[in-house]
Amino acid sequence: MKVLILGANGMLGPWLSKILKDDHEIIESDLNEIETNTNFVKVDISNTEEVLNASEKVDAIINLSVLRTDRKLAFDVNMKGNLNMMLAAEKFRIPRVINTGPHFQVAGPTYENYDHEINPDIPPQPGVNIYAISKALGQEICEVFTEKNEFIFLQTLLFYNFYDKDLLKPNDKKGVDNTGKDLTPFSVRWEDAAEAIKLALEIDLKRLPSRSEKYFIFADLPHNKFSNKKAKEQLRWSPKYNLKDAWNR
Amino acid sequence: MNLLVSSGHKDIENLLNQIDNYEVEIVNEITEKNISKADCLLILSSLENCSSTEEFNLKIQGIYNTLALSVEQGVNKVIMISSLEILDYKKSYTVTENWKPKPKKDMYNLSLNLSEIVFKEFGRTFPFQKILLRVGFPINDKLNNNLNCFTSKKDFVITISKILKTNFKNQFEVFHVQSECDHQRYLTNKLNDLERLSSSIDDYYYYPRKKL
Repeated sequence: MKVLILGANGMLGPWLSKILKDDHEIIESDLNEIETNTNFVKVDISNTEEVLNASEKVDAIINLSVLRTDRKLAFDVNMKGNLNMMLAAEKFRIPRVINTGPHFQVAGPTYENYDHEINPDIPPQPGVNIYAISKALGQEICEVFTEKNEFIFLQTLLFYNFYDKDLLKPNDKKGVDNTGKDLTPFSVRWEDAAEAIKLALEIDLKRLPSRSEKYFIFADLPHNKFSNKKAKEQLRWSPKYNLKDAWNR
Repeated sequence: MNLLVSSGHKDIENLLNQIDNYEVEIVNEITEKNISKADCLLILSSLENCSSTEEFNLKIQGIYNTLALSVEQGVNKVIMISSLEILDYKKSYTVTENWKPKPKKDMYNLSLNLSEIVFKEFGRTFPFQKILLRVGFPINDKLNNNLNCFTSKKDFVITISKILKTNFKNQFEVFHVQSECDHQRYLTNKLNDLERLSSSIDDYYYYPRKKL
């Protein structure tokens, strides 16, 4: 498959490129140039023309772009960026769109008091935090375009806290020992997050229950505040790292 | 009482001067200075047309900034005017305020939808009255037989006046308004029953449970 990755120079991009590059033709894009062996296109996701130009003749778009704090830039990237992506999907009849975001663009502050098996299909209540609401607005744009274009299949993967192998590194001068320290109930290793996106990219679209599906992606943890059951059942994703050793409640 | 209006729809702007007991100020830009004097803010800029992606982006940012400023300045009541066009369901369906918006994907309808989401999230988060009024356009007194959705100028002014006078129990309410006509497209029962939604001293009085 020919795949365009938007925001490939973020934290997750390199993990994803690493596992996709052998099986797919990937085009990495970002506002900042990166050193890569794959195709690279410089794209500002908030620029409609640049996104359209980069999207021609691709089979799938994966959106990893994000901007969190600056009010104007957050809307430019998280909301208008999604609009540009969907305009491109519509124009070039790209059937597969994978969007990403934080879990709290759906499960915002009003869900804090719920404590068991919160699933990704709850009514979105992002609150007014600039990151959450701009991402939620971007998601709404994706869903409207998906509903109106019968050839588009949208999969949204929601993450929050990413960890690498240093999470459980033994305590020495260089590393920090997190064993037994607290951990948010929405945590995942980078490798598992990238694997979930790969599975979403490669799934037979006929297997999806609807043309718009959302998944919570996080490691198995004892608390069960959120539920990753849907990702396991539909994407057949199985987190390799359960992070239980870092859990202390 | 001061009513501050963020401009965005010329026909509506002209009608607002007919509202009694309110000093209406229509402004292109909401600033700390003009919002600090306002008792109520009416957002018409949600109706502003937008054709390009950048106009769309700026419009939604403007709505967010306006609402954030209204929170900072402690405005008591904010009314956002939207359009019934946002409910793009089959014409045979009886659509009420409880239905989820189903917008078309053009920039204007999409911007109305996103403006409503931003407004709803502010309504959910901050404890002051936020009223979302979806108006059946056009606003026109001449009854065209082909129309099953329109709002007369008189009905519009009466609706806004009623909403301004009502002290709402809930911090977020949605109303649909259109004038009565044959094969009326949208119901306006909730608006007609507006008094039921207002708060009174009884709502805050504790009645001990009666013995069975």
